[in-house]
Amino acid sequence: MDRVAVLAGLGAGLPSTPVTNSEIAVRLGIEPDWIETRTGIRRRYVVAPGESTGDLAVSAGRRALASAGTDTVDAVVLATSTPDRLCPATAPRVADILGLGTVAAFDVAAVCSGFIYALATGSGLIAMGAADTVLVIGADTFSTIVDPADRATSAIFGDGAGAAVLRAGAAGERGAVLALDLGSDGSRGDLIEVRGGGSRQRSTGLPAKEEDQFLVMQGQAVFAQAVQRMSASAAQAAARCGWSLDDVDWFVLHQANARIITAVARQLRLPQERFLSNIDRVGNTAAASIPLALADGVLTGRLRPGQRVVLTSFGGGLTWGSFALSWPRLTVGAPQSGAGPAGTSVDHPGSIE
Amino acid sequence: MNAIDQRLAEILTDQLKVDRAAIDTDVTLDSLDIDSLVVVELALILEKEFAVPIPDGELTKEMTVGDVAHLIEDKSGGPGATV
Repeated sequence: MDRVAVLAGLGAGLPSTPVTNSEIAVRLGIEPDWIETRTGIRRRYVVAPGESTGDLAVSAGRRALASAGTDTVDAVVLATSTPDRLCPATAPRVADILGLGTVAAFDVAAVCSGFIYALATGSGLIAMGAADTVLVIGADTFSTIVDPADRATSAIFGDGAGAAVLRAGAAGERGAVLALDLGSDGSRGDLIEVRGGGSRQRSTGLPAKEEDQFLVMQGQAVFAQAVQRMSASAAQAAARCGWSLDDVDWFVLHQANARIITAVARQLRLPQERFLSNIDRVGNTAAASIPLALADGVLTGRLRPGQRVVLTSFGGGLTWGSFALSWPRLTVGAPQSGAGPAGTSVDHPGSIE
Repeated sequence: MNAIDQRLAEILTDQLKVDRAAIDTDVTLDSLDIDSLVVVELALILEKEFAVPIPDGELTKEMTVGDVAHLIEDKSGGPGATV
């Protein structure tokens, strides 16, 4: 029997501070309805001063371990493009705080596709026998890189973390990873970028320009790419499982913008009711968006054992990817308080209503 | 109405939920409540449907339904072209 990765646990972590559209609208001098009409977002959460991506990752990771009924794993793979520090990676500190000892721990950078890339990495470690269990986390704090005056980004992004535990199992089991599709297009890397802070700027010896410290996104081109790439990738992953699009119970897309999800549904000629979404309540949480949507799907009773699920992401790079699995029997635990070392994170699934 | 006009009207109503009664060759996309993101989506659908390239920005919400049909006709080699 082939050894494959099986989804065994899920957890979510959100900062404790919600930010409503009215608060953002006042800051940007726009009508509150502007945000919801264009993005489908009503609320997002942002970190407190001094709180980090790693703190949210710890919160989500702890819950995922509890969901899987374990307190040990063989590796931690953390997807983020807003790490606690430029160097080193955030994952080793997260593993340490979670009491996981000296296990392998590293970051994966694929922007909003990071969680799918990290799942692929974790599944690979399991398939080759290098690990029996892997904690995979997607965590980002885009509130730290968006320009507060840029309505195209500051109204959309929120902070958060989501995590999954993968364990070794067999292909016939519920929760088994059945297919994967990954891709990138570096020729369009300028569509979503933070220009400053990296080696390209630092090697000049000059400080980063003010505007280069923020995320810039070319909205319409990103919309077109996201719709095309996610439609094609989701279809590819389903096909690799031998599923028709109609066989799939749930498509869980990166929660970038409700309009993108609608457009992908139209491209695939599928009813929008088959696309799981929680973007109205958390915004675009970058690498955390898919696991947060999954946790929400379990808590709201929409994701049920045996269902056929396709996860699909798109992000800067450009990067995209899909992951197909049968949904396992698992529970996402009741809220617990204050996980992060900064003491400001609250574990939140109970409030993802 | 040629085949392209007809198919364009079907796409607008069936896929983009535009009111069929409001569609006319002289009305702009904007007046059909098609905003900039739906324009992008329409371009993607037309590229696939008619197998013609529509570069970013070529379609705008200021164009009329007739302008869009002509654009496709030009790109696909005339109104009689099969789709």
